[in-house]
Amino acid sequence: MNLRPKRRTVTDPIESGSLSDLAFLLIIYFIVIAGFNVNLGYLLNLPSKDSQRMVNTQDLIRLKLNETGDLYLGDEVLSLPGMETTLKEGIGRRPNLTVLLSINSACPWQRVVDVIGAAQRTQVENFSFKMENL
Amino acid sequence: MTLKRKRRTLPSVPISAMSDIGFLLLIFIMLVSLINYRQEVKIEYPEAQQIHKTQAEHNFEIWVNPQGGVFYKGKPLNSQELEALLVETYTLHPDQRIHIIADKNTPYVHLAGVMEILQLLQHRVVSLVIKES
Repeated sequence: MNLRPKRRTVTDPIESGSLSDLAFLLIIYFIVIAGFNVNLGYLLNLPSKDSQRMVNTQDLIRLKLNETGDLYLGDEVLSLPGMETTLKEGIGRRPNLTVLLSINSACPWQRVVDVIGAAQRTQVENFSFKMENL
Repeated sequence: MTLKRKRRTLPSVPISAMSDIGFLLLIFIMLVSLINYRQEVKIEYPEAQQIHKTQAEHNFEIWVNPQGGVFYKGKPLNSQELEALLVETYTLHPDQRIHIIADKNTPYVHLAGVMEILQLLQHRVVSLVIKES
């Protein structure tokens, strides 16, 4: 006579085998979401409010952004690649080149960012910007 | 004499606890991402190429919408409130990095106002937040 107790086979009414897969997928999703809050952009050094700097007028390039975002060098309209070429040529001739960008108060922020980006690409050391009529 | 062969049991790694570990990890990461959650203002980010990471250990994000409204953690602020908040956070974390997150169509005058406050408070390094195009 077999007196050994019969082993009960446990059946899982809900398939839980795929739950761990689901949990790990959710983990990956949340890790990705948590990594989204990384700010990218440009780092700028703000000068102090009353700092003044002597610049040789020959080393100075004055650029202007008007209310629609058009870029001017004097009376001449400049494209962004045109600005980069002008600045690169300028740096070649005058290593202490200083670029002063004067921005119209209504100029869209995107255009300002474009010009700052173009100036950073040319690696001009002295670049400053201010609002027009300030 | 019994000639019955002993049944060999195959070596196995118990994986039944894997789903428990998975769910614990899930709860942990969900909580971490909730802490990391930031209240955003609806803006269209300006776009540029060759940008780099400007995130620091302590960050202070100033949001500017197209109408010139200034927000911090989703709360609108006027210039006095912003100034007071900047002073307060600077005393807590002097190494705090300021991020300006503005809509691409925001007129420059509104950003100039924010930058003027930062200049007044002697904040030297400012991050202009941009999306990579």
